[in-house]
Amino acid sequence: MSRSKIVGAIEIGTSKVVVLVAEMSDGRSMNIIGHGQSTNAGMKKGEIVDISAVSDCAHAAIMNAEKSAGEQIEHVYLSLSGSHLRGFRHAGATAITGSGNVVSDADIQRAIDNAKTKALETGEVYIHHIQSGFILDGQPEESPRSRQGSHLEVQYWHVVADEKKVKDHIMVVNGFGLEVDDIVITSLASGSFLATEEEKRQGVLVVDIGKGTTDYVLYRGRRAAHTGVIPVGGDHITNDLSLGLRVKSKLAESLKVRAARAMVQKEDRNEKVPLVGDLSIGDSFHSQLSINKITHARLEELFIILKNRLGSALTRQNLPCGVIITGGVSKTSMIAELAEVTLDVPVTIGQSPDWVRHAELRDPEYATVLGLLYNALHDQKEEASAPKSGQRKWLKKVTGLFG
Amino acid sequence: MKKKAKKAPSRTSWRNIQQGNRRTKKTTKVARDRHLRFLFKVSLTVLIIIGTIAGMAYIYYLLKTSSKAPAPMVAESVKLNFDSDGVLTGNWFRTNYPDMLRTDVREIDVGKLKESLEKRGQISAAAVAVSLPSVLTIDLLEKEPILRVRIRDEQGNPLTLLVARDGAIYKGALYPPETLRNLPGVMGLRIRKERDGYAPIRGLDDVANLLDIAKARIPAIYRHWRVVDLSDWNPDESYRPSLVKVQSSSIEEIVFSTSGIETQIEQLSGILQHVQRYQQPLPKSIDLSYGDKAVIR
Repeated sequence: MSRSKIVGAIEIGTSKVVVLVAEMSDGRSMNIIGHGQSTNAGMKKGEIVDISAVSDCAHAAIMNAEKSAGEQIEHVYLSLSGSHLRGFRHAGATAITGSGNVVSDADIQRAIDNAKTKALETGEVYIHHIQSGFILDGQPEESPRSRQGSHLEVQYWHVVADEKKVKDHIMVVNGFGLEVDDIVITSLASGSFLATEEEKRQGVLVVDIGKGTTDYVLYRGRRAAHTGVIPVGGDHITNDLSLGLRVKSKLAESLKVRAARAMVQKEDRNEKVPLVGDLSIGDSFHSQLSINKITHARLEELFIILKNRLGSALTRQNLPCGVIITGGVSKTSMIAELAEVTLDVPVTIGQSPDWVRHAELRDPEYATVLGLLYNALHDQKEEASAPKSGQRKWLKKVTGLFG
Repeated sequence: MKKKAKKAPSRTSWRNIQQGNRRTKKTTKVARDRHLRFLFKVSLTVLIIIGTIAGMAYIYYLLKTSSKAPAPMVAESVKLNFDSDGVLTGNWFRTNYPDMLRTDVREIDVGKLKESLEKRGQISAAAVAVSLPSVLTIDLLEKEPILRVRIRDEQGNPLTLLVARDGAIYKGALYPPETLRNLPGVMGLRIRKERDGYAPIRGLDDVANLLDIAKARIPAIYRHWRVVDLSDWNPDESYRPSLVKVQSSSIEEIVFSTSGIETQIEQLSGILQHVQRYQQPLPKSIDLSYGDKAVIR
């Protein structure tokens, strides 16, 4: 009997809530059957500031997704972003105690436990423990089991978050009558989905520039080696345009989407951009040069922050596959060129894999939520190979017959 | 990609955060509406399951009892005009001759049908006629039962038969239970099975005559007659005295001779009037078979 699961991927972003519903069969295949989206209110820089408003928006999006899927969500994968996210490297070490100094499973487990037990600051919780590999007597080892040595070390990249902010996200989902099965930070969701295995092996940086935050993940040796969040996003460009051009935020957002370019060019000097753009009487015009200069300045600053954060990790030698930019802001014209100039590494705009058939979902804005489903599929593969457990949700399947 | 320690969360993992469940208070109207819809669907599902089970049980019951159920009605092609002076009805005919009304009326063998009807002990004469294009007329004269007799059939089950005035023995149909209850039982008869029924009792006219006169002249006494004993009764002229013994609920035995019945009934009436007038106790036995004398005990 096929074990099919209805999985919902929920991204509660600063500008919108996106929900995708997929049917997964035995971890082998995934069929996206529902999509819901709503404009979000009550979020600032990826963090919930008004849980009631966010709940209204999120529940509307979940409801729409369930309606379009014709199924009720059984499992929830939730993305998490915000400047409260913090990453750090911490290794766990142990002495090899077995006979003949042969590394046993118990030695490996002990090293792993040591790595994961670092005390956190009050009010912080672990989100991910990302293993970066083993070092046996100072030498990197992919799999140290049954090898001889005296000192085993396991490298981990840990991601922690503010417990209260995580609770807020969970409460929004719980308030709809659903439980959260897993939380994946935005950068890991987008990164695991957009970067190929080969790119991850050689080294690649995936940068997801959203409305409120910029999330990034650096892959090396097929593993995520560094993650981070910069509290700068598309909203900052909108604010800058609003202040610089002295227009309302809503109109500035419209200008950004319609006309903003990340690079300044000679011909911009002569170009004019209508503020509203619907040929209405009284519509004012703004210089393309001004718009581009403002956009360029903010994005350049963002990339410089990123460069400073990653330091030597962000070089052509360490990142042969360069940078992949995604997220809503990645649609800004010439952003790849600006990033390439600033970061001095090859830069591409993230492209969804070919298996994403829905044209609408190939938009970079959906990279995170698709990445959540990609993670869910990966998890289900592991579950499918594990022994069957749990009760059958036969009642749910029967009630599903009535819509 | 080993990046999450999901199966064994550490003490400070987000997985230790207490989550709500399906019963957690729904925070928005959308969520509450969804919950209500879920409850409705569950209720509907339970009702449908119960309905399905009940339906299946009913179908099973119908299948189990289908052998007892009447045959499904099939449209009749022949119109029936049925008349009888007794208790039989058109539906009795339909039940016993179901194919007769579903054929072409021209195919009905009137003579054969009349013969078949008259073979039944309950019917003394049958008039059968066919009118084209599609009318079958049946007019029956029925026999009147005067006695009932209980025997055992081939399987040993009790069976009640009726005895008509002409001595015919038959299984009665459609008689009201009250009529059957008021008929006196008969004992001492030798009942023989014939090919299609039972051999008639020859010479039963004098017994029928006795019962008719008693019923007419002394109905109050006749009403208590329970059993008519014909052990000493024989219609042959050479067999004398031929006696009819009646057991009643008030008098244990009243013995009649088959000759001079009217006189005996008059005598019985006189005896009982005398007893009543002088408020004497009812006799246990009255033997009226000695001509103008009666032996009273």
